[in-house]
Amino acid sequence: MNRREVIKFGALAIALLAVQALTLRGILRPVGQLCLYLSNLFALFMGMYSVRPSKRMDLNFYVLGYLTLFVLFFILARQPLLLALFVILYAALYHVPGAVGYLFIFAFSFALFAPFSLPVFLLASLFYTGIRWLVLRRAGLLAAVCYVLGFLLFAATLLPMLQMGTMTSFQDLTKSISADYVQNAIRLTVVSSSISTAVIVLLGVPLAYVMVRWRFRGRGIADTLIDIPILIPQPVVGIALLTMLGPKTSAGQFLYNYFGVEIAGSVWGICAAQIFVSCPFLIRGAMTAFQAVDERLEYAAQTLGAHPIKAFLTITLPLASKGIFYGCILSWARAVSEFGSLTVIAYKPATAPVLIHDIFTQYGLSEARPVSVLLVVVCLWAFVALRVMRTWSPAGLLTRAALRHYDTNPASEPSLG
Amino acid sequence: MIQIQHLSRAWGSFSLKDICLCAQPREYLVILGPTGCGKTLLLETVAGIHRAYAGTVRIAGEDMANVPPYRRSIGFVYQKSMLFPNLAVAQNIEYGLKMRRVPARERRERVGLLADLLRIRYLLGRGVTSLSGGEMQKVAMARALAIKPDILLLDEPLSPLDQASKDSLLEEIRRLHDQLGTTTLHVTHDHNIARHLADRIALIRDGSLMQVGETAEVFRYPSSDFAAGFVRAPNILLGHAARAENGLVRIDCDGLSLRARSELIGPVGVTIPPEEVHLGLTAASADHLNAFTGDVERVENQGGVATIALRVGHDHLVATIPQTKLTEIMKRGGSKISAEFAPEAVHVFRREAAA
Repeated sequence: MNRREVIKFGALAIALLAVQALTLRGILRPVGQLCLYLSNLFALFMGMYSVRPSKRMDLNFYVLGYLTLFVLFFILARQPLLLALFVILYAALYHVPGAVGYLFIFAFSFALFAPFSLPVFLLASLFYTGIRWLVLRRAGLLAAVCYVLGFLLFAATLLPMLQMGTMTSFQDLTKSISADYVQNAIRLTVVSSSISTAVIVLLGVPLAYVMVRWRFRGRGIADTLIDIPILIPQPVVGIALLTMLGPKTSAGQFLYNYFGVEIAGSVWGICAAQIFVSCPFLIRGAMTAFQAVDERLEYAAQTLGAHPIKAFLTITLPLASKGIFYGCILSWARAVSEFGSLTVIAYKPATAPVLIHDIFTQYGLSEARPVSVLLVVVCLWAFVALRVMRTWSPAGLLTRAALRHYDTNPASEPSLG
Repeated sequence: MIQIQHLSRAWGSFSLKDICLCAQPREYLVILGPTGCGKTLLLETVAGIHRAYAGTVRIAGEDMANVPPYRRSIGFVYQKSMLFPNLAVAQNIEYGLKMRRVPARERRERVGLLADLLRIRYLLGRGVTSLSGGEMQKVAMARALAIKPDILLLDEPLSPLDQASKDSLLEEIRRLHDQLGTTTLHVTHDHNIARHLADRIALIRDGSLMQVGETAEVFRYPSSDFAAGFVRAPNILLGHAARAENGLVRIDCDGLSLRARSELIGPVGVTIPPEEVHLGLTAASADHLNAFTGDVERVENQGGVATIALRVGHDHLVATIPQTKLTEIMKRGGSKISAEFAPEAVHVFRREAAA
């Protein structure tokens, strides 16, 4: 800064002081006045020093941003001290690419969307990140339109979840997690879903393999039948299972007399319902996975001396494992979330979804919310597993372990002889 | 050694009709045919992946009818290499040995040996997805050879490669076959590959065997117009043959009428090797049997030898002449040249009705 600029800055600072003292007298206490003045002074300094005066547009934007913050916090939210804080942040971050955008999203969501500020801030930041990415890559109008429309759907699913999460205090969570009936319900849900998924894997993977590899008569019908459980309304599943295996049916009595197994109102009934509703997800996942494995890989393994079963176990299954695992996660999540058929076949012992419904009807929204959040947290591991799977596969690790023996240095091996 | 007798099989749009083929020990048999003629099906049937409807396959004298693919001693290399993507290169090569319960030390030795043989030792620790096309095929060859197969089946191993890697792998395959002497069935649609590698060639079309013979024989004496066209025989002329003097036949083609030593009468085709066509500067004399006057259409200089394409009437003749003679012809100017060949140089084959 040369001397002229120092004089100019001084003059503006004094003018600012005068304006603020005159307009805000009586509205703010002196300490507040001082804070606001200092932050304004900082903004002024940054505006003169770091935003180049020669770049008229840039300066205009800077002033526009300041005015926006002023309107948001001073006029709409009536929080002069927050204004002071945001002005300092704004002036400091103005030249960091992208940062100002997040700052403004933060400012907007806290000033205008008071009860939903956190979810709105998170979603809006996500949206902004995407848009910035698209603009920086010059992605074009089509991509932008698709992104905006897709994001609306995305927000519609995510916003309620985030809101539910943020509305629940940590105390509520700990309180509900320490309750016996909540623990029991979540344990029951996780255990029964895992049993169901294991059964589905055991029976569904071979079915998927057969469906993909063999062209047999009636394959089209079988292919449609796989999707039936998705199409049938949930209570109907419960009714059907109860009709088949209920205590008054012959099948139910047979199971009870010879195996001591009661279907209605027991873990077995829960598993039966979960298996019924969640098997299509695994079968479809496994079918897609097997389809992606070239049949000729199996042929090659067979010509090398592998029995078809061995070829399946050493080549096809490892290659399809990722897709099968993906199907497992989906199946498991579907089993966890099953509610409708369970209200018919096994209302007690209650799984978590049934318990949540029960609490909701008896005590209302605020009591049901913590348990719901808890269930979401339990299900999150499935989400994490899905993410991790993209980069990591068990087969890859085994390969690396098996290769320790091979010395790949060309000089170290004796010649052919 | 492998014997295929009266083999028939249909699969999808492909079919094999009554194929009879034999390959002697250490022989390199190339099965040559256009795309979709059932070559891959033939190999897969030999490997036992598809069951034959009729006919037998014998490997080393043993009937393979009830032997599943994993008990046949076969090395199979697919067109797209079909390496196991879940295994690394070394694991791919040792896969067959592992399935045969070869102990780990022996396995490692064998893998090292093959890696050196194919010069792919630097690849052993790599994943197969990072390999180039040529490298993949070499690994696939090593994997197939690791189990010391009685028969090596190659299904167009060279066709997905670019020219440079094609040439190098071609040399590699030749060297391997010279060293190991594994009986090999190699299917391809590329007559150049057949010319370079084959001891014998089996020509196949639409699932039927068209011609089997020594490589040179198939190229010099194709048995049909399909064979002649497919092996790119030079100077193919189509015409009608009738008996003529001195035990010769007269063949009337579009633009010329020539004499050949043959027994065939009726619709025929001929092929004349370009090196047997002699060019002269004077107009053709009438007392020679096959002497024609034509216009020079095109001259291709190939260093040492030149190829000259002549137009005779509506037909074309190609001749190769030494470079020295070419300059002489060019110096004397004039595009009219005479071409002459002996009746014995003309190979006559029967034309198919369908074609």
